[in-house]
Amino acid sequence: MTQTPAVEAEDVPPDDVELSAWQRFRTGATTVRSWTGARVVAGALLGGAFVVLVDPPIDMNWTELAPVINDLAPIATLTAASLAAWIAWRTLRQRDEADRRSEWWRRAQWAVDKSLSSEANVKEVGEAAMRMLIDSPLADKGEAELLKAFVVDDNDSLPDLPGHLDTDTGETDTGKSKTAERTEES
Amino acid sequence: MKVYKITPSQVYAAQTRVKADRKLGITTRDARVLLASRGIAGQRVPVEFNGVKYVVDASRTPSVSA
Repeated sequence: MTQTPAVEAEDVPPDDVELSAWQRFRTGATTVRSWTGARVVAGALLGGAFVVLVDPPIDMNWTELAPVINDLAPIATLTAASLAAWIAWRTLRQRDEADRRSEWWRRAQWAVDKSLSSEANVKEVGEAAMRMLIDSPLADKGEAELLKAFVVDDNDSLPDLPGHLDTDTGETDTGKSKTAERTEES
Repeated sequence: MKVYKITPSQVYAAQTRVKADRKLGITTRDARVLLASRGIAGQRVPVEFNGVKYVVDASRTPSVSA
């Protein structure tokens, strides 16, 4: 009776922390919207090259510039190779991320199927799997919400609090989930 | 001290719901879930919740007190 609870509701690690741009980049979670900046930079470089080569604002002495350009050629080659390697690495990361998310979804489907089983043991395994999948970093908000809709039902079987009238947890708290309320209304 | 008898599975479910709610940006308001999430599967633990002292009994044996 002297033990203290191992898990406090307030102590649950925050899983909803927003990732920084660098973290999204490292974990391969960069979205299409994140590429907008890269497109702007690429467009500026192409535009600058077009102005310099096709319609230079000043008279350029290409004879004098040629040796300089020649000296910069290795750097350009290295830059191009680095860019190509980076693009290939990004492609691999995105493919790996897509594969892992696809497998996550297959596991989620399996867990939902098991949780709908009429056998208590199979149902319990499915629900346990869903709880683990909700906490996975591969689950985005919509997918986690989808799984949560199934897991929440498990809480509907919780008994009422003894002396629950003494506890005030908020004006909208009914002590039951939305699923339980809908069931009672129907 | 009030005894709140639940199953070990319900402890896990409640803890998952609290974590999932946070992931979804929702504050869990269900008092039963909040209390159950503070239990330990397979054990009886004293918990003070909203100023009321409870014993969250998530042991696998039937409750001996009420």
